[in-house]
Amino acid sequence: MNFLSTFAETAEPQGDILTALGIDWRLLILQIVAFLILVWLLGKFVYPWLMKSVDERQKNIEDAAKLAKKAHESAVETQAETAELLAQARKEAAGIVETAKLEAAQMASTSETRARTTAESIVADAHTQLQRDIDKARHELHDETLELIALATEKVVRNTHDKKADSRLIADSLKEAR
Amino acid sequence: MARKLSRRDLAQYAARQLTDGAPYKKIAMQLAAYLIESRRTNELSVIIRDIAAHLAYMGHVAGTLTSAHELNAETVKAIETFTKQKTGASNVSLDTIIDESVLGGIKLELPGTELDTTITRQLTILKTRYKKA
Amino acid sequence: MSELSITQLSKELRSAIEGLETAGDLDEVGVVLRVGDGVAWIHGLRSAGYSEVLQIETDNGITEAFALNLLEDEIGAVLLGEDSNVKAGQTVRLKGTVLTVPVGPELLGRVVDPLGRPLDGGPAIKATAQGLVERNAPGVMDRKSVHEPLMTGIVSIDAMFPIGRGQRELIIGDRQVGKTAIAIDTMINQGKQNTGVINVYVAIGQKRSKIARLVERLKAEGVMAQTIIVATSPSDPASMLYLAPYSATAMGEYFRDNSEHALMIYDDLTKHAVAYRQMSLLLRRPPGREAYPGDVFYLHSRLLERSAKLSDALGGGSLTALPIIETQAGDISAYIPTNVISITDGQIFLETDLFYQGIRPAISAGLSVSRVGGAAQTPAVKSVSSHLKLGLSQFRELASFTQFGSDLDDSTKKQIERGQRLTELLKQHQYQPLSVWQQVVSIVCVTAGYFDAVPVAKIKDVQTAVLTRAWADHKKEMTILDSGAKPTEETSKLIETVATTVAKGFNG
Repeated sequence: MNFLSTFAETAEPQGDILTALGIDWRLLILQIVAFLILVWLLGKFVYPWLMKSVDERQKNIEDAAKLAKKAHESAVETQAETAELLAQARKEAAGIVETAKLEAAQMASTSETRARTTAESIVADAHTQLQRDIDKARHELHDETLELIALATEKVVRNTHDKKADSRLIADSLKEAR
Repeated sequence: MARKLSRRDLAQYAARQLTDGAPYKKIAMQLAAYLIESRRTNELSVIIRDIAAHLAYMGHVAGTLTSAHELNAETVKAIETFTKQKTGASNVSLDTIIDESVLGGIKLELPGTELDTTITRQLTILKTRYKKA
Repeated sequence: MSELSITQLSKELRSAIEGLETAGDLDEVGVVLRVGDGVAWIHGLRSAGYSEVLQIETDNGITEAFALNLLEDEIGAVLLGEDSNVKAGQTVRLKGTVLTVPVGPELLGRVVDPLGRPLDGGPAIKATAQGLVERNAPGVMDRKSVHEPLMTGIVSIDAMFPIGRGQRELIIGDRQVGKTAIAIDTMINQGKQNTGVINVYVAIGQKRSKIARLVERLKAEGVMAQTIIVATSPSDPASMLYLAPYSATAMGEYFRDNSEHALMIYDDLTKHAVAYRQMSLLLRRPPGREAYPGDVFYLHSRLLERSAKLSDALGGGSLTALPIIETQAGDISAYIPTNVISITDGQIFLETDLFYQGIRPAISAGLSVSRVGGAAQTPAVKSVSSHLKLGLSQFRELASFTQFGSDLDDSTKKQIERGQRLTELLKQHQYQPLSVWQQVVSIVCVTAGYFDAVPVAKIKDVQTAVLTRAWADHKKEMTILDSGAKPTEETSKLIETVATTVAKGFNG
């Protein structure tokens, strides 16, 4: 440092153009040397690190840009797929609903038919029961009348069928039985 | 133990004995003794029927004739002739019964067969066979 | 509707009086020696034949009986009515015929007793023909082999144990496992599929309430018009229970002999054997094994042999029999069950365990068999049933492994899942028989794997949905399939399309 101070102090007696311009050439040289030392230091320690950071940043930005592009493309693809799936799902849902409607219609129709058949059979049963009652009454009347006929015949025959008639009856029976 | 004799065997034996001329009392005693010993006295009426059936088979028919009024001899003879014709019997013997409840006609009961032309039967058939209910 | 016509009544009375014979001939007569427990012991009538009808003249009319015991000294006759009217000493005459019953189309839609007398309150049966209750079975040369199917509408039976027209297939199982249900579904299917088969259902000692419910059900399903019901209840004399299946068979034989097809259901022959045992013991016949008479095998063999497929020369008619036997605690090696198993052409065995697991019809695929088999199966069902049988048999082998869950390899798991779906498919509600096309489509859907992704619990729902859809969209193809023809490639593809589409809505 003494040398630099001494070199800086002994620079004044020369009266040339640099002096006229007010440029101290020793100071200039020192400043140039200091600048070079600075440049060297920057170049050695700061600049590589800085460049590395910049490069990295650039790379990240490029990667991000690529990813963004890819994501955009994927999104477009997915959207298309989703639209297709939705369309298919809608179609299937429509099919299921249609099947359900068909089943419901069939059940309703079956229930209606069954109800109608039941109603008709109830009416038919009522008619049949009525007819049965009439037939039963007719049969009972028939049998009662037979009983009465037999009773009446018995009474009449007891009073009117004499020995002579009996002999004739017996003779006829024997003739028929031969 | 002795084999149980069937009613048919007993009846056959009795009928044969009767047709061979064995005395009634002897046959009756034998039969009665067997029935008492074998504790089959409740079958007596059925055995008598069987004996009558066997006798009929052998040509000796005995039966019952039921009528509402008393029958004259001519009618009875006609009935006996009819019986001989139908059964092929050589000997017919009919017991006559008067029963007013038959109303008219005759009921001829022979072993295993019957001819019923009574009015009562006709009325019974009318009441029962033609019933509908 | 007729009225109470006095003119008609008078006409009938006049004809009754004119019809009276005023003179007869010497009739052979006997006399009732004693009566009790439905049996009358009669003396006389030496020319009476076995099973000949005898007429006992009681105070309340004629009571008929038929001679079953022709002994040296007397005849044991089984009464065909109440024995309260019959007394010792009453006269007995020969009718001159063996037992006959009215037969013919006039009986269709009617409920009758074993003598053909109506029980449904309807008018008397005015049949023009009479059929012999006891009759010889058709001879060997009068028959043809069974080749026409009798569709029951029950998938497991039609696919795995098919019944043919003219076959005898026994339905056997414990009480309350669904034996009668199978028989009823078969009858209903004849109406639903318009097969033209006449149903003859014999209720042997069945509760009257059960018979009434059956009649109502058949009427509701529209099948009663082609059905004859011969009914006896537990309170009827044993002679009626004994005669019921023979009388009903005579009614069925009328259709068989007239080139038609009839189906006999004997419900059930166990009660029939018990009634015959009662009658035989009362007739003092010597008891054999389990107190049954020595001819109890003949009792059923001569009955079931009358069910046959006749040759073309005799009209090609058929009489199919579905006898029912009730076992005790699943014992099919008992006396009567083994007898009937050896007579019939196969059996459908119903298991109580399966029933309570919810598998209804509770048919045991392992113990059931049809000795006629594929010869009597429609080509359509035959083409798909082999996969069904295979799937089920594989499942049966692996059934015990189902508890291991995820410890099994994939192929085993697949077989088990397939088997579970097949088992679920074979469940069927009562009174819902399936037609041929419905059975084919259902079986194909499971065996081809279209329902593999459907949860087992939803198999029946998806089946219904597929059938509804298939009928709605492809009625023409399904109608062709219903005729019994084997499914074509196009039909198979159609089924696949419909099944896969519909199944997506049920996928778990």
